[in-house]
Amino acid sequence: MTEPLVSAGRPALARLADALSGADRRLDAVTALLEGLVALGPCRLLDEQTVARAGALIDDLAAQLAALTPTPVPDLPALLAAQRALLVHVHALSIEWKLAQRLATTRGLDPVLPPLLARRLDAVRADAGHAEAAALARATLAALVDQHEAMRAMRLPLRELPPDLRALALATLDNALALAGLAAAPLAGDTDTPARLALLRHLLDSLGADLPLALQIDEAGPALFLTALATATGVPRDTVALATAEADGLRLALLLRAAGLDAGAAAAQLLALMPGADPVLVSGVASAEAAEALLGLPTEAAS
Amino acid sequence: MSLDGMVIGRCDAGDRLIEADGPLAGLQQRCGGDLPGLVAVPALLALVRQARHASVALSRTLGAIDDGKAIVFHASAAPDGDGTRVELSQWRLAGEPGGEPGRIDATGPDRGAVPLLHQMAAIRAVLDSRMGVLTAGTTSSDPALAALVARWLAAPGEVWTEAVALDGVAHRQPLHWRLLHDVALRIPDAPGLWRAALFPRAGLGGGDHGFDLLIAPEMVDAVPPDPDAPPVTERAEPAMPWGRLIGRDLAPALRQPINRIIANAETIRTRLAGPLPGEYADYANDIAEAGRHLLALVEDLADLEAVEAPGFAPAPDRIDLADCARRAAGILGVRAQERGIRLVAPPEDDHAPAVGEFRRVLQILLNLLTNAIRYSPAHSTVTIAVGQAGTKAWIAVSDEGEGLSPEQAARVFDKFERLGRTGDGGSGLGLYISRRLARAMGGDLIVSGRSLPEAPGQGACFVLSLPAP
Repeated sequence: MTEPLVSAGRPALARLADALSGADRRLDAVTALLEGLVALGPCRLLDEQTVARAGALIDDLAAQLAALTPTPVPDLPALLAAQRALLVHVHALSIEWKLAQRLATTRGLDPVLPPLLARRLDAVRADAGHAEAAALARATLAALVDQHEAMRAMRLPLRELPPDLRALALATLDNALALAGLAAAPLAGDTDTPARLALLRHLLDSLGADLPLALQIDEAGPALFLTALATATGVPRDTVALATAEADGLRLALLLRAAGLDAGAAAAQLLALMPGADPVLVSGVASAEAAEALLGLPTEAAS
Repeated sequence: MSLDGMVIGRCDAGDRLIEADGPLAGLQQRCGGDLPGLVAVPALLALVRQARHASVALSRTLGAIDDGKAIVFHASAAPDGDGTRVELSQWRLAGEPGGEPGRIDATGPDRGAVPLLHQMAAIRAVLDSRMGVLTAGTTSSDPALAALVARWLAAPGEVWTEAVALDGVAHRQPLHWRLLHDVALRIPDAPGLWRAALFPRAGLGGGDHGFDLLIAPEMVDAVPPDPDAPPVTERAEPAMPWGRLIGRDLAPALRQPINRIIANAETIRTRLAGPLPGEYADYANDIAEAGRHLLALVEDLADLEAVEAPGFAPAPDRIDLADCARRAAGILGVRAQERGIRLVAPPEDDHAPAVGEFRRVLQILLNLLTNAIRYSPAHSTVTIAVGQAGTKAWIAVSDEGEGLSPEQAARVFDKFERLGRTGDGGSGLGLYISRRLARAMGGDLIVSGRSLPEAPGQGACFVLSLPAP
């Protein structure tokens, strides 16, 4: 504001009123936010670590995007954070990281080398005939380690974004440049699926008789488990990841049932992922179809 | 009380502990509970209750306060009839008394520095339990590092130390990971020294979980390699890099903390501070052993500095070698007995007057006898004989071991010479120091592969000679 707020005369009063109403709006917004947070209670979806990590990942994306153009781009992190899909993705990644850390501490589960993957590496080493399976297992491990290290350092390489989000991020950069009256650089994102998610899908497809193990968290580890649960239910992986941190375990319980687990198996997985959850939740539906219907998923004829 | 295996208990339909192995029963009572009585450890009660309600087996790492100390254990509860069956394993003290009971990652060294190391590491790899490389990656654009990573990726399962040159580690047999943590190394074609950090991977079970390997430059601000510079060659070490430092300044300062490490490790090993699983007792034993080795090494290095100092001169005195022999045999009698070795010292009426410094002669004898006891077969005899020949008095220590070949005999007095022996706590300095001491006193220390006629057996025979008065 170039003029001082307080000066003699009637126009100054009007400016004061404007400034005050602006302050009122911000106060209202903060109060509404606080009201929401207080009503939410202690929330694993929105604890400080998760918020900080999501913010850091957005900042990292912004820094990578800014490096693509020679001119400084104002407000890029805020514009990226305003893209809801992008925000959901970094939120889900933060929740997945926290889940992996928690499982490592409480269940001794290796975040990148779960028993299922370790056994496959052992098996292909013992039998030289499985060159393709060996390469897949090793590449998956390498991708998991890379992503783990990146998350540890709160980095999110652009190429690790799913293709639609990568395009969205680049479009946001174009938008920011246009808003600032700068020439948009011609940017074309490639459409490769990020290495980690693609390899997890490949690994899942190649499991064969071991496929049911992918839905056991102690066997599959968090990364493969989330991919398996997303694949089995048709629910986006990010939604599945977020479900592991929801206040009650209802959505996760339904997802587990919709994936085809019986009540006992679903309860065991639910309690492994959310020790505080009520295992009765898995018995609320009689069948996988009922769970799918409740979740609003297209029910398959035979599952 | 051995806590190696599972500690088992049973609860009834009201979550009352009705049967429990000793450690669990003790914990229950120290936490204010009765037996039979409601489970007194809150976290365990929650787990038992949940397992019974859900009718599924659950397992979790739990914390409790036992006698004012935070302990951590892995608990599993499984429905069993009306009640539940409880199994506890891997009891240990949590990081600090009153600390966060859920914290378990105190297994690796320098845990606090890990985030920093992850930032600094140029190479990181995931190793299996045999130290074979499962995967590796580099954040550096240095072609030498990329080549190392490519080599590892092309030959998965290769033990990681094969591809690098460990600095100061002469033998190539598999080493315990604790000995490789923080080891300095050289990477083929990459200039400068690097450091490796090893961290056991997450896992509650035994030791088959593998490791994270991080390799970071020794110097953070490494100058980029100059393409015109000659290839890096092994630097010529200054004759005594630790020079005056060890004996005068460091040795006195090191003795106390090392002794404290040994004493505390012994306390843990003997479970004086509370129950812990067998493997942790073994680790404590390793710590105590390593501490003793370190202490011996500090003493040896201090001696080395003393004998290599230009003005070193022992204070000669009239001594009796037979008396020295009897004292040395007395000091090491218990250790010899433990190994079933008979020490034969000269009889009381035997005398061999000589000129030398008593303390130094005793030091030489203790060194010779320690070696003889260490490398002799059990239930053999180590003999100390004394005598006089012309202007010299001599004392000989002979054993019934394998003896030394002429080549070994030629090398055995060299500095840091171990004759291929490893892992027994020796530094390879004892005989070198002993000979230096003997010569400084106007005598000598020699070895013959075969025994003297006076002493039976076919083992090694070390002869210390000193001027006769």
